[in-house]
Amino acid sequence: MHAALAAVGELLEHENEECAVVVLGGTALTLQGLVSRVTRDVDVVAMGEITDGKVTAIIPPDPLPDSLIRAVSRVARDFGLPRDWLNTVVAAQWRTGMPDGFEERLHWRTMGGLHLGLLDRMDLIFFKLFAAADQAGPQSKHYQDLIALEPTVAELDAATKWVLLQDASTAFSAIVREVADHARTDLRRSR
Amino acid sequence: MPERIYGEVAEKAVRAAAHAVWVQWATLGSMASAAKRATSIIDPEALTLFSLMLRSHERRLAEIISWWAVSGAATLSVQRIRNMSRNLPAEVRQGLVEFADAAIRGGDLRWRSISKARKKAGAEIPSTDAPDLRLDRPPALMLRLRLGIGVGVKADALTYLLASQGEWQSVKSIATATVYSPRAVKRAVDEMAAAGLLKASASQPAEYRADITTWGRLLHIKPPVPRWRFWNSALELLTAIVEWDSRTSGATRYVRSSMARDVAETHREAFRLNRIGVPDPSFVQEDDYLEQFEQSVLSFAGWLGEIA
Repeated sequence: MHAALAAVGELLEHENEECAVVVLGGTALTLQGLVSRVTRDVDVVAMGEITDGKVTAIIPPDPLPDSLIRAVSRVARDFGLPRDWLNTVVAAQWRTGMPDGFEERLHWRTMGGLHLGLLDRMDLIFFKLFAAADQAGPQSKHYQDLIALEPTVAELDAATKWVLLQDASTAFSAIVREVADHARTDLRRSR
Repeated sequence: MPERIYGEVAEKAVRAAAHAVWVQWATLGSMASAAKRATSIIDPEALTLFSLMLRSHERRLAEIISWWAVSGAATLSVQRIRNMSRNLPAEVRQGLVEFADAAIRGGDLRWRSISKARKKAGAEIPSTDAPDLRLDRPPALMLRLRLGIGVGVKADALTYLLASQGEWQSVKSIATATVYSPRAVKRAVDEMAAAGLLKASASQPAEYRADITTWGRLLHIKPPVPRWRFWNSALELLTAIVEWDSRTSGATRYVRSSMARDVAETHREAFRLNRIGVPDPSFVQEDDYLEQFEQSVLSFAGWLGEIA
């Protein structure tokens, strides 16, 4: 995915365009070296407003700018990727709520005309616990990613608290607590 | 017009095109002289547009165009050249306007639809030492038939069918080759078939052929007739290569490769129709296509060199 994102940045720069997107999921993990695995898509959760080459505000990602859509589509063709390899499927999370202060914790990378805001490890723990609870089971890639992030007990507690705010149903609460307990056990064993 | 600086690969294509154009002019007996003669049918509108495009690269072409505007404009189809120039760069279209102005000064008022000149100036008389158009060489067949039958679809369709060596051709393929509308081609070839000048198949849709033995005898051309080349497609391909070179000059390898794919995909037909073997871009990913594209451009340059 790194090469594909770099290609998007090159295309944008060639067109004298700049775009900023905030990504979570596997791309944010791999680009920061937090896990090492192949990612098939880029989950865009937000977009950045750019003023004088700097990101000045975080806004919802829909719709993505035309220049970015064109570049993504061209890269899909050139790299043999699905057309929606960079998508805003997770953008609904923007409406449900993001962890407090996540904007200040973003790690920005610039690739040509593309500014990539990568979620901080702490925020990734929040989202990975959420996703792992959503796709229950210790074999899920989200659970594996959560374990790879090696959260402390305090971090898991904070993540649990945040995830429970996302879905108030009793059934989901039970799953979240179960996944968190499972993670605590696995992490204790591995330490 | 300042001379453009091209990248290495585009430069080779431009140089090969300039050479091909020069050889064709020499074949038509213009002031150009060349050791080689054209081996394929000369498409006069494509030749004119190629020359307008390449005159900044080969300055001597400007003089030939001036000669042609007076000596040969009457053999050109104004509608066809306008259709063919539609997708060409602004400087070529501007060159065509200047050509039309000169043709009008030479007395051919058909060019008024392209010329910006409001009224006919004093007729421009060709200089007495200007060379005469040579139509006796087989590659000049299209011009020759236009002089004999008239400038239009019938002469060009017949040229294409003769250059197809007597093979059956559909209306679609004749229209693609001659750049006239399928409807105009259909009407023309049906009339020619009714007059016994062409043969029409009984199949649906009908196909058409010209008997090269009979026509060869009449025209004093020994088969094989020079082959048809899709010069219009070649012209558009060259334009795209030059634009690609210009737009991606200084761009990253990936950007050059990606935009090269656009050229290859858009002009796939130019390669196919002219039987220039090139790799399929979809088989190569990321920026690895760049070398393949450059090889494709070199193949195109080689084709221009061979078939001029």
